[in-house]
Amino acid sequence: MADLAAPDEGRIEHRLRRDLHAVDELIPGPAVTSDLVADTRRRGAGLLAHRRVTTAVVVVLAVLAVTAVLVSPALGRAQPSSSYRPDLPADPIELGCYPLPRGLTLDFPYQVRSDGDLGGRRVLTLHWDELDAAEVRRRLDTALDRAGLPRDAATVTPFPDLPRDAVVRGTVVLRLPLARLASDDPECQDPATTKRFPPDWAPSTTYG
Amino acid sequence: MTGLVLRRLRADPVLTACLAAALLLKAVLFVRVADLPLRGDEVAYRDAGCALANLVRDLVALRGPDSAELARDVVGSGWFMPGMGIVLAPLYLVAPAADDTAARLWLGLVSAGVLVLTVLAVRRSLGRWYAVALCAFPALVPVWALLSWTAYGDLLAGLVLVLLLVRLVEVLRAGRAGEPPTLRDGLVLGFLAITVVHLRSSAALAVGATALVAPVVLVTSLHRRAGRTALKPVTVSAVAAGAVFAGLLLPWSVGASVALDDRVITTTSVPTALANTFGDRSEVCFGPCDPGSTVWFAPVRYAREVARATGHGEVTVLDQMSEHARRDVTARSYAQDVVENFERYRAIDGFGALLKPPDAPHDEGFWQWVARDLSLEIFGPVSWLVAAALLVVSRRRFSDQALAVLLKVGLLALLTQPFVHLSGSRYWTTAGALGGLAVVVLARTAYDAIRRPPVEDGDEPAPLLTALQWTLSAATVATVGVVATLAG
Repeated sequence: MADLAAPDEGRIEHRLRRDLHAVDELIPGPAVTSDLVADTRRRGAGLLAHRRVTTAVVVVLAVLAVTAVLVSPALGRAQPSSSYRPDLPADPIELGCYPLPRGLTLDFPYQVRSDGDLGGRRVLTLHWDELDAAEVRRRLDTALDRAGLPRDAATVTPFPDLPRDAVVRGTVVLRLPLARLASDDPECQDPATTKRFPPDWAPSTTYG
Repeated sequence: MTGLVLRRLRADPVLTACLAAALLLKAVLFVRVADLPLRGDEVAYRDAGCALANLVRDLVALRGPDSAELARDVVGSGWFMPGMGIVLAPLYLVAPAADDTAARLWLGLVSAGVLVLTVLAVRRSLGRWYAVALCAFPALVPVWALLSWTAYGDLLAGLVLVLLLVRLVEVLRAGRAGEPPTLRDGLVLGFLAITVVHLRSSAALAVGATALVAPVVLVTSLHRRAGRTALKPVTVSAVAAGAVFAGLLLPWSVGASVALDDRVITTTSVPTALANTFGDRSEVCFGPCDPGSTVWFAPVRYAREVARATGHGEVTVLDQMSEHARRDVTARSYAQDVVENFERYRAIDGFGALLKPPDAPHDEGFWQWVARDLSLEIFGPVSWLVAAALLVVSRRRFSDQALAVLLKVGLLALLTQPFVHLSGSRYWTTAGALGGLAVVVLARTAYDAIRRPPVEDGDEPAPLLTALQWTLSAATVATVGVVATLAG
């Protein structure tokens, strides 16, 4: 097989240049008119102005922001209302607005649901947490014995179908002798604290 | 500078007129809201703004921050992310005693600025008709303009979501041309995404859904052009976006978790919202909650009491309360509540419901007509067009398809709101920002179906995007069908 002749690179380049020239001549170059120059200059100036304006705006904003931050401590403090996170009222039993009979203690985690007088008795309703019903019953019996009250003064009802990790576990209803207001703490005047809700307070079930 | 602005105006008189009309409407409506005090959740946003301004003050003066104030007023019960607090903070930084009129003025100026920025970004990336559509809907809906003077973050979240989608469309288009996203793209996308979430935490679903879809589309189209080498820059920018997102979410999540002594990522309001929406409201506190309060505050008070008695976190307790209240939910009751929520979602009488003092009589005459009747006149037909846009499939151009897919994913994710939360009359303002754009997508798809223009070189449709749209349309129809059947 005969060797192929080595390509003559000089000739190829010459040929390419000639073709390119021929093509180049077919494409008319833009006429450099004064309009074109003016238009290009205007666009350039526009871009430059845009960049300058942007830079100026950023610099001014940054200076204003830094100044505002630096002088802010001298302008006083803003006063939030904190109305969306009011302090949690104290536990009414601990506060002692309407004390429990002497000797009766609630030795388990609970929250008071309602308190009030009904048919000559004080009815105090609680939810208890964490413990099982038998344990709460045992602790209540001890406390009732200590207070000299019958054991049936307390009913202990666990919630049905409790999940295993449930924190709140059931309801305790205590039927006790009537109690009088025994504290002049102003919080004791607030039904939201004592849980002695007036009957005209609307249930918290409307959308608002 | 004036010359520059004038040239811009001359370049696009239709858009300029439309934007000017929207801003003018907004300015006129300020008269109605100027003297209305901040109400409801707006108060919580103001408190957050005040506390954040005080935080800056303390840091500059080299004092220790008031952590009790931050816990009470920025975190509160963990319901609201601090986006609107951050928006309001500069006002209370320079004017600590600013009254509510000043706050409304500031909020309106911020929303006007974001609107203008969004319109310009839409015009640059998507073209003038999309920008005009955004100016017309929602910006020319009176109740939207009224709500733009309020501290509710829904409306701003919608506009920033549009900025995010526009940026994603740019990245997808560049990917189609074989150009992978840059690190800067990733940083900007991450920033826009977390801004949306901070302004309105429920929009996290829309951000998450687009964050799932966009990379898949991008990798597919890049892979075809540039092979495996394209994966590296995509990964880098995705990691950058994720890092910015997480970095700007973390201060809130950590702060709220510490303040409430429980795990908080975005918001704690979901369990209570689910209980109030679908459960038995008289069982939320394992029985009725204390009377004399609201469906939001009373359960939190109960959970705080349990937390005090037991040492458990209140958020954990709220979760258990919600499960208890929802134990009798059936598919039928759920579907009926969803339908009811959609009705509430579509009732956009936001002005009457949100701004008016509770004891004041409802507006009558002119303002009533503007805030409710006129707004509903516009909202009604547009919402049907948007619904239609969710069902049509754009098949002619890649650029249209990319936008269509992102808009549909965003809209559908936002429209899950009635499936999880009692709807309010302001919620539409987030999805509303995408509504005008969706109508243009519908119009272009319809035009293409009739005229069948030739496909432009480099803008050929992608089968993946067509398939995605069919899937989304099918999912929409199926969901509506199932809910309607169950509720019926």
